[in-house]
Amino acid sequence: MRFKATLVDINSISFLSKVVLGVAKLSKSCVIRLTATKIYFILTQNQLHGGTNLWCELPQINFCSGYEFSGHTDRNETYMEVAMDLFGHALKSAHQAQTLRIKLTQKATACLTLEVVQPTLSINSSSRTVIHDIPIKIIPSRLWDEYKEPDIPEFEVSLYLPPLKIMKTVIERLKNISNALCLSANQKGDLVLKIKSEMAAVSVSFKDLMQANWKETGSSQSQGSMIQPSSNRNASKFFEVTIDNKRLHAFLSSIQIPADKIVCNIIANEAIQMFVINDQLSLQYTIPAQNII
Amino acid sequence: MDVNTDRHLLNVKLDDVRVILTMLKTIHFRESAMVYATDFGLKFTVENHQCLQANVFLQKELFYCYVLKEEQVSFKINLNVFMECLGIFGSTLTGQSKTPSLMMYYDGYGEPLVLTIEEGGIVTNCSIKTMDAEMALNFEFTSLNVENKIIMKAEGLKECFNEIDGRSEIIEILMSPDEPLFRMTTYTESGDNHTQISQDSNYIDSFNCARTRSYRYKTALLKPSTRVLPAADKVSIRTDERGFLSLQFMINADNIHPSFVEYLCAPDEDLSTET
Repeated sequence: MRFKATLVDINSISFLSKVVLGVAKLSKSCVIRLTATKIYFILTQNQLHGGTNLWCELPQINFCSGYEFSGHTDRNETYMEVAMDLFGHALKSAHQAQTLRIKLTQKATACLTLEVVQPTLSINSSSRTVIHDIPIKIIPSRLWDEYKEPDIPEFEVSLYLPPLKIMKTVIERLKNISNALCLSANQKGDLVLKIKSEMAAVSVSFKDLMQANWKETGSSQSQGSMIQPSSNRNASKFFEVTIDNKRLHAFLSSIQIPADKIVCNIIANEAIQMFVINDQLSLQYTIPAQNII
Repeated sequence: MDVNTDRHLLNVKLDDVRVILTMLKTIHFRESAMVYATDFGLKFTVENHQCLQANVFLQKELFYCYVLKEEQVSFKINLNVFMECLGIFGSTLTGQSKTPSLMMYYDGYGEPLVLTIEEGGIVTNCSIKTMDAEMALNFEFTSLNVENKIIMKAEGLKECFNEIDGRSEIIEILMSPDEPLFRMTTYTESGDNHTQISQDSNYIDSFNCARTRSYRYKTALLKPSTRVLPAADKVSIRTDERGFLSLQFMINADNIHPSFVEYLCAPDEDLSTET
């Protein structure tokens, strides 16, 4: 098994570090899947721990200047568990690097090795190289199926969320009042965020949000065919789902890359699924409904 | 816009919700606050340990609509929740072009306080439970009994608070007709700290001290008043013959109508009798 990625410009390095630091905010450890064309960050939580799901794919061509990968099985891929805080920490030290090489190495244990070549301080001195070894756990191939791309379930409403900055402020305030957040939306572009606690009931209404057009955005997703929102329903009918607001807050505040738009699919009483639209990667996050006892 | 304006017992409208948010932040050190509505405006009161009372006065001129059906309306609300609702679109006063507007009404005993906050087409509706108003402490602090009074720029008091040692359990405030005119003293293991403002200081606006008096106040009680200082323009410091301290801050939240925050604090009795 061989893996070697080389990043040579500051923007690419900072992009990768933003992605990694973002994922690190959501979970301590994460599964990284490597294939010949893409790097994936995958989080799958079982229902007991909240059942959230992150799927982030980065086409290597977007940020790597050199990329080699060969897996040892016929599927030509590999899965490993990585401590994201260590990975993020190592990448932070590379924020001014000239070159960053990421390799898989076998030291005392299997490691993800980061070679950070720092720029020279003067003409005469030679460049300095810092090496970080991050121990990883290779996931045996029989468990790979646990880390499949989540399906896109049939949703009732799919719309673009209001600008991230507004969403973050509003969600943060609501979180301080109660954790059970009810999202209610219709196909006319109305979205209502509702919370209720012993002390207060608050609802925030957004209107004229754009509906996501799945025919167009479908191409940027890895899956070819997208499910169309069920038509011929009354467009102004509201569909609701209640989720744990802490998870939505954590997700929104973990987004460090520029996210122009976030599409949110509402699967009534089951889950919300969000897609961050960015040129360089595709990122989706699912938060299941909270069962109110 | 609201056809039912007359229906509500109390109905207020404000162009910029951040005005009231700025004011309430200065007394937000306890979970709940009492709200009193009178013909003069709204008053929010927060109390601590029966020794400290903080009041925010919002004159009715601040609101572009202020309708009150009875002489006085009072209730108690959860200040944390109220503040979160008011600040739903962020709370900073600068750097935003859009301003969130507020409509608020209350229908009487047992009814919720209903707020509508709107910014750029986003509408937030909040319904906050109200509780029975408790009797507010009456400190019987009247201007007749005031012995010493100094009006100074808030910055001056801010600098005094910055200088003193926050680890000290008490703060001693000395006001006197002779030098030093105003002195704050703290006592800690590492030493005593005296901070004083002299008569010719630019900070002092008016000076009216009859007797040399020094009283001690619990630091923990005075601490919350420091959060008013960054927003305030001027402060009037008064003590009466019993040693009660009144700090009145003037804040120009909307740049037209000055609003007032008042902190009333009882002296620390055990210690003041010793000296």
